Amino acid sequence: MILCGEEVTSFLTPWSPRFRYVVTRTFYLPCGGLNPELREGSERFFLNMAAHNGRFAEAAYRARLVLGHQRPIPAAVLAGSVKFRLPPIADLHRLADVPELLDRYHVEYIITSPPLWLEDPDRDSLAATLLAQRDELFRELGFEEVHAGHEHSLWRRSASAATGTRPSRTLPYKLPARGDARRRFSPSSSP
Amino acid sequence: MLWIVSLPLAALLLGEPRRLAFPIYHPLVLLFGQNLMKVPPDLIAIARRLEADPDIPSGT
Repeated sequence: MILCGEEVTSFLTPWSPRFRYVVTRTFYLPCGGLNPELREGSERFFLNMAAHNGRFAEAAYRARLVLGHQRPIPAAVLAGSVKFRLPPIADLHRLADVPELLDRYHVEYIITSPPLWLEDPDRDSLAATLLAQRDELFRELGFEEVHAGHEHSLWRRSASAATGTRPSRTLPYKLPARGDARRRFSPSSSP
Repeated sequence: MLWIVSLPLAALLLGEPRRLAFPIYHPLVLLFGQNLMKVPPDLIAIARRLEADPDIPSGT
């Protein structure tokens, strides 16, 4: 699976049908984590926040739940001096969950983007800090930079991190068998 | 003629030229819009690299 932002999937999706993404469109994740029953959506969304913001993932996740997907995130929010209050039903994730989530969604590649989501006056001052700590986090998580572009970079899970107790490459959910679906919609199966 | 001029003018006046995206059928986009639809060169290099990786699962 490839972990990247919406703008990158927009370019890569028509390139090859072999590519699989953790997140394609952020607005496909219903309720943005506010519904505990839709936990997979909020987990994928949180991973996306970690890929964009590194160690600021928790603050960015909270900000996105409040601000929505389009508005820029103020620097004070990422720095932690301003905190958004969320309803208690919000499904909050921690930075410590990221390694487990990366394993569960079989993330092999991360593609980073320039931090255009920061507010304009803060962008220059905060961008360097954000990028540096983001790269450091990826290295700690066992990823190595295999292509450093001008704007976008490609990170790959290093071979040493890929071995061990990782689960096999299977889909994280089970599709219903064909017979079950047919039986469910067949008029003869109704009592 | 009014239609050709008014859309970009409105976008410039409102200061949001990117959010007020031009309709793709607008004549100015058809004439000069090649750069708007250009894929960033970084992503082309990344896509080629991903495609060359035999570990990327094939099929659906």
